[in-house]
Amino acid sequence: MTIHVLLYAAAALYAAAFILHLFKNGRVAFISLCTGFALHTVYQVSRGWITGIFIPNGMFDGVFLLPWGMALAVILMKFLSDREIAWESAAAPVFLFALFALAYPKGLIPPTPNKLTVWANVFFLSEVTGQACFYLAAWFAAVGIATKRESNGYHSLIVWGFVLYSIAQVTGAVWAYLGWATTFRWGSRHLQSAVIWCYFAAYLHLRFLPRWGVREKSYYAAVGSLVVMMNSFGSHLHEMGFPRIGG
Amino acid sequence: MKRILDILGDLRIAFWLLLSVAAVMWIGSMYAAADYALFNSMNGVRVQDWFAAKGMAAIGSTWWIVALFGIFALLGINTAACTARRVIALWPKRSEMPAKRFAVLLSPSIIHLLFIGMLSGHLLSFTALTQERAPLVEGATLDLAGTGAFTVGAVRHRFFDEKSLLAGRIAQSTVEVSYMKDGVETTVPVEFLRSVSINGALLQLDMEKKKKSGKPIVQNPADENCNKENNYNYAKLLEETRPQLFIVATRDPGLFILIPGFALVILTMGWYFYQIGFGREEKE
Repeated sequence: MTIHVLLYAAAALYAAAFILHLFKNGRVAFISLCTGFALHTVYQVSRGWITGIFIPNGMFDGVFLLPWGMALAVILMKFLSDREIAWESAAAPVFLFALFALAYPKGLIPPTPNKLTVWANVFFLSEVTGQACFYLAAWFAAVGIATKRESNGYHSLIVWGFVLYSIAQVTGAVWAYLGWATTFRWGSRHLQSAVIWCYFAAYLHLRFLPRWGVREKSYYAAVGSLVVMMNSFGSHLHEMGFPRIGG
Repeated sequence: MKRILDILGDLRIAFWLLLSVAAVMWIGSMYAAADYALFNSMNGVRVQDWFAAKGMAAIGSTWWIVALFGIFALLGINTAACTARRVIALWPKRSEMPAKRFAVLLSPSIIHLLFIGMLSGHLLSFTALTQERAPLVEGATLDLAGTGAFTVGAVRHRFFDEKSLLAGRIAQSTVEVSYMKDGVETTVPVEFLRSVSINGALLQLDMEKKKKSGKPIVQNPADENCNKENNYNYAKLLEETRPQLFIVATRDPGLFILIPGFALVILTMGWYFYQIGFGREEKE
């Protein structure tokens, strides 16, 4: 039995959580999501030993970390938010991203010496959890549009996502400085990361523009998922062809 | 004056400029992905030198860089005007509210000022950076990017554990570098992620694969995501194709703005969003 069984089990529980939500069984749906998250956490930690020795980079591989980050954000919002929102409905996008992770090569791209730093780990953790918040915000904005529910809790997810993504920009710049002596490199990866930051920086200015009402802002937040996808999945798909070890 | 600030600092302009930056960067990322070698050659050289040498000849795929610098200039002006407008309106009210409330209201302006500082730092990096590189040969004396003379000493490689799946791959390389400091010979180790500053220039290591002829191989588009893992897979490489260690010296005046600026902007932003409850105050 390999550690990847844990990821399959987590994905199944995310799917179950969404089905239970559709059957209006919110409490059990949330328990299913939490159980899936617990298994997924064990899986992510186990990935640290995927090469036979402990290399933290395995735990922060974006494709596997994204659904984990989304599940974590949903659980935190359920506990911390004072809004009456069916947060467990987000098990649907969590499951979809977990499904992508299941189809993705599960080994580790062998780390070069420049990748063996805590700055790289913090960069990937903050970047992916930031993206997780943006995807969830897009989901709740879209649900709000579909159900004509004006306030659907997505704004604070975007604010959290923006803070995490800004931390990623800074930790990524520090990592680039330590490894390559510059904080920015001309390449599609750095440019696309900046695209996402600028798009949501623009969103934060919308509250001061009277012509942008609740509905327009919801559409903007929902489109944000496409912006994040267009600017992150390219590198995920590109990296599918890289040689990997373990898994 | 107020009317000029109102026009220049209009938030609608800020919004569309930010979206324009995002759009131009996205277009640029497509060009960068399509021609990795061309855009990778921008790294480590001054943008104006690169444009004169290569960018103008390929203006069909580099035009967006000019547009990007133009939009960032407009964004800098807009942000400065908007911040000035806000501070002018806020400052007379400072005695009418508790100091903490005033600090919370002022912090977005501070974040925007720091943002202008970051734009300036990046501009300085792009236009005033100096970078030179040379292959590492034990015993060689080099002088790169104004470091003054330094001598390359012993080169050592540390490999991953033999029992792991990474066996045979380099985990770290260490190079002894000797130079004169205040009339005394000083020897320091340079490693990946552990650079050394000599006369204001940073010395770092880099690794490039060689052909059988001994010449470095031009980077492959697959390296675009910093994936140079095969360069460190020593065990699988023949003696004559084993990668060559390079020493890279960089002098970047923008770093003195960027590194402290990054720390300040995150601290201020974190404090501000914490104070406003991470968006809970938003009336949607």
